[in-house]
Amino acid sequence: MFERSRLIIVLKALFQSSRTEDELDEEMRFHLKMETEANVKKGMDLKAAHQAALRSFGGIEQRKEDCREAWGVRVITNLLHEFCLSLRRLFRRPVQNGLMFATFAVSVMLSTLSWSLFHTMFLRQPEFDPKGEYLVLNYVGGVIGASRSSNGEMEAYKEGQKVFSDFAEVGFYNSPTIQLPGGAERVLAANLSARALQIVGAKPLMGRLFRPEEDKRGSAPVALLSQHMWENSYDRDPSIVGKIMDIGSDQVTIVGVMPADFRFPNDQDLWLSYGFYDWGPDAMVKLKPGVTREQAESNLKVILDGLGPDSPANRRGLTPALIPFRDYYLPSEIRVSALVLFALSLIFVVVSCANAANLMLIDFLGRRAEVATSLALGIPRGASIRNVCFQVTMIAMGAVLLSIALLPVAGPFLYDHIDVNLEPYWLNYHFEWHYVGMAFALAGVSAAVTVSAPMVYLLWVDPDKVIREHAYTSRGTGRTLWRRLLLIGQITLLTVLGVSAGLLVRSSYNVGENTWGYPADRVFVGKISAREIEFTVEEPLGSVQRLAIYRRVLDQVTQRLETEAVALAHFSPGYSSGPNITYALGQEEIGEAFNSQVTEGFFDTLGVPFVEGNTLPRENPDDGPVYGVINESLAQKIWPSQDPLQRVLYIRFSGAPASAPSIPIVVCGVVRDFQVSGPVARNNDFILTPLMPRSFVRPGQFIFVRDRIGVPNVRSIRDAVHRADSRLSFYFPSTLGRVIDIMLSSMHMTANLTTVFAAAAVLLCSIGVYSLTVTQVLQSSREFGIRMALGTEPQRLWVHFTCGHLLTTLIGVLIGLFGASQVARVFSPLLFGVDPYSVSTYAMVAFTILLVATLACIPSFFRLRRINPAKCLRSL
Amino acid sequence: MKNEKTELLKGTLDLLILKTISYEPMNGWGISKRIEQISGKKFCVRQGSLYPCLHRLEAQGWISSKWGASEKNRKAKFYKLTQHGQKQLDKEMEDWRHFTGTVELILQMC
Repeated sequence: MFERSRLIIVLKALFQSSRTEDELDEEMRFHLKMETEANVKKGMDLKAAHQAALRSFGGIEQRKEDCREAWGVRVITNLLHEFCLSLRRLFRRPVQNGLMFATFAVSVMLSTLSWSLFHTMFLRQPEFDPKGEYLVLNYVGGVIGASRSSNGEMEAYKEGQKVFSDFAEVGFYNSPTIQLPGGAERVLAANLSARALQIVGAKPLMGRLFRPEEDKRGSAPVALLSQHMWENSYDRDPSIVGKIMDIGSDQVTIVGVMPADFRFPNDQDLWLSYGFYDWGPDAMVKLKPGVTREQAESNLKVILDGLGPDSPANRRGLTPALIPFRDYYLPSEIRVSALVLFALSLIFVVVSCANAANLMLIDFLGRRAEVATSLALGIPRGASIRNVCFQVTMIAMGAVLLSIALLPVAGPFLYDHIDVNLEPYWLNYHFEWHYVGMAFALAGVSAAVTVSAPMVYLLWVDPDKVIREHAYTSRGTGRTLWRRLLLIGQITLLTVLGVSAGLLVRSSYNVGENTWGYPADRVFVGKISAREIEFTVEEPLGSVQRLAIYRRVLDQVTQRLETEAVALAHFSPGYSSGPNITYALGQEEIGEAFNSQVTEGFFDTLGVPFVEGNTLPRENPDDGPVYGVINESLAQKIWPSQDPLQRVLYIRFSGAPASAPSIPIVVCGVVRDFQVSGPVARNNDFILTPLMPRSFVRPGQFIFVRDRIGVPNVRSIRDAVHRADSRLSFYFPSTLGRVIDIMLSSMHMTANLTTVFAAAAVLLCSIGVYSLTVTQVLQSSREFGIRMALGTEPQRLWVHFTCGHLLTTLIGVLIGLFGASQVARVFSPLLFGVDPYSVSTYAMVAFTILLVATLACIPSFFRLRRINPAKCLRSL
Repeated sequence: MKNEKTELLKGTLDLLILKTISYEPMNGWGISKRIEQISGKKFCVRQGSLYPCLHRLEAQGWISSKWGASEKNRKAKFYKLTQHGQKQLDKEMEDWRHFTGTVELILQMC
């Protein structure tokens, strides 16, 4: 009640101030009239009565002030006045305050974005598991790539465990081939148990979810379609529920359609019942209260040991491990990038604070006389400090608002540039209120640090002394040492960032399309599979028949009018992971290289020219030699200055038993070097051999197509493949450029963001140099003025002291170059085709920084010219 | 008996104002005159300090104000006691009695 009445009075005083003042005035006039009348009744004349009334009242204005005091709004109105004053002052120095605003905005924006990325990578839990309680049961150790459970082991864990309160089997990744009216198609699927669907909160758009009895092996398989698949492959068939879908030789009943916003664990096209899964299942588990992860892993190990040495996991030397769901799904290199960027952004905040503080100090030094005079006239220091606080707070809040306004644009842009293969569904920009909190917190800290410098100045300044010495012509204080140290620190940071960005960008360029040796963006790549085709008893492996089918595919694709070249290969550039064979001239192996079986059009499709010889033969006879095409560098390495054609070398597959014979290869052609192996593989020597029945034609092959103009149309290639054989499945259509982008996503992301940070650092650094030089002009104005009065040209003076600052900058650059060389050594594994100590990169960065520093010194020249030598002389 | 006006004791003005308007709503001038009149002109309410005190009591929610017409049909602001003001008045009267009783006791005993 009391608070409400006070609030009403305060609000009335603030927002109806003229009415309140009028009422106060009227109330007091009434009193005076009444008192005057009383005095007149006592016998006084009117004038004397009025005077007496005024005397007894004791000063109307003073009483009004007392009443305003009683309302409790004095503090608020004073603050409002000071706020308005600060606002006016803000616009009186647009350049300086604009720079401060830019500094804050850049650092707050980058930091908030980095925080968002950091939060997504390290802290954000999937919606279904906000506390991060669910773990994935997996294996560690043993053979790489073999870390999957067998169905028997998973059942044993489920039956024997005593440590989990929840246990849901899942197959996170499955890629079945389904028969659609237009032909076979391979899709991205996942096998989920009924419990897994419950855990993730699935709700079907139509139909139903899976039932527990459908988790059992041998039960009738059922499927849930994604909305996308229902709309595109089934034309939004309203009676889809209950229909049958062919997956290989199995008939699967469609039981429902999931809405578009259901994405688990990736962007699946299809979810199949867990009972219809036989390829290394995982499980999502939740620990019982009080059970630690280590205890649970021990319990699983005991169960695994109980299965005997012949269980698949024991044979491979695997150990059960429980991995947090988020960690299981996010590649570690992306998380490292996020961590580094967040750390960088915090350093940025510190640097921007220092710069902003320096800018504020310039403001104060520039109007020392005004500040000192106002202090001498009795304006409290507190009011001046509040004034500074208001100014900085307004700038900081403006920067926060700009950052928040840009977040909906910058956030999705940033996340769109993170390409992760099989991206987990929660790795997307999702606004959260704590981003705003973080932006305000960072701006608050920045503002607090920024006001510290002018506050210290205001507390220490002696107004009498400043006025005596005449602020305009003050002596140099010589207190620039700490600012020089600050500048050195900034330049050091900028140099490290600049060199890192330079090296990463160059590395990124080196793994870019131009250096791959073929136009990656123009080459279509997809996969075709004859896995579902059963072959005759006479040829159980099916190599001959498969090759015949594949030849028909090549013919069909060639018949497209747009096709310039088409080829098949067992491995694809971009996907591959490095050498997979050793080669020898005689008995002794002399090196490693990459091998893939390819069709003769492979080099044409990639547009790689032959240096010598010809491509592989279309038909490599089974009883004749195996021909091979090698790269130029390998030819030079093995047969320097000799003709490599028709020479023989021997290859052996890595990991093949020692008893396996080497395969002789006759070189039929040499092509220019190109990046045949993985995106960052150092060794790109290759020996490519023909696709032939003798060396087993695998059921899955990559298909490459290059059109005469533009990028091949996916549908036309799919149609051509299905015309060759409708049983073939066709999947993962893309371009080589896209494949490479995904493989290099982490590297590109780090390079791009480091470049953004480096660009922002240039801005901060230029502000730092600007503020330092201008401060010196302001502080040493008397000295400069006297020198000019004695005949020194302002240009010479400027050159002299600019050289001093450039020397400071140079010291920072040298320290930074040393720091950068140390940092580059750490991230050298990320660099491709760039020396971590690349002199040209280091020199370019140093030159750029010195140039920026020189440019930032230019405004100080104009300040210098504004000094009046006559005034300086008069002050002596 | 001397007819001298006495300054009000510090802190008693609130009590006197609350008590004065507890009977009927009054304007500021009327309150000061009523206190003088009842005290036999012994207490002098400084007119200047009356209004800040009234505004403070209003901000505290003990009294409320309303514009009305005075006896001479002039526009005047009238103050009246609120429910909370009545409770506060009771409390202050109790405190005052306790205080004066204690002071009286000391004066008699010493």
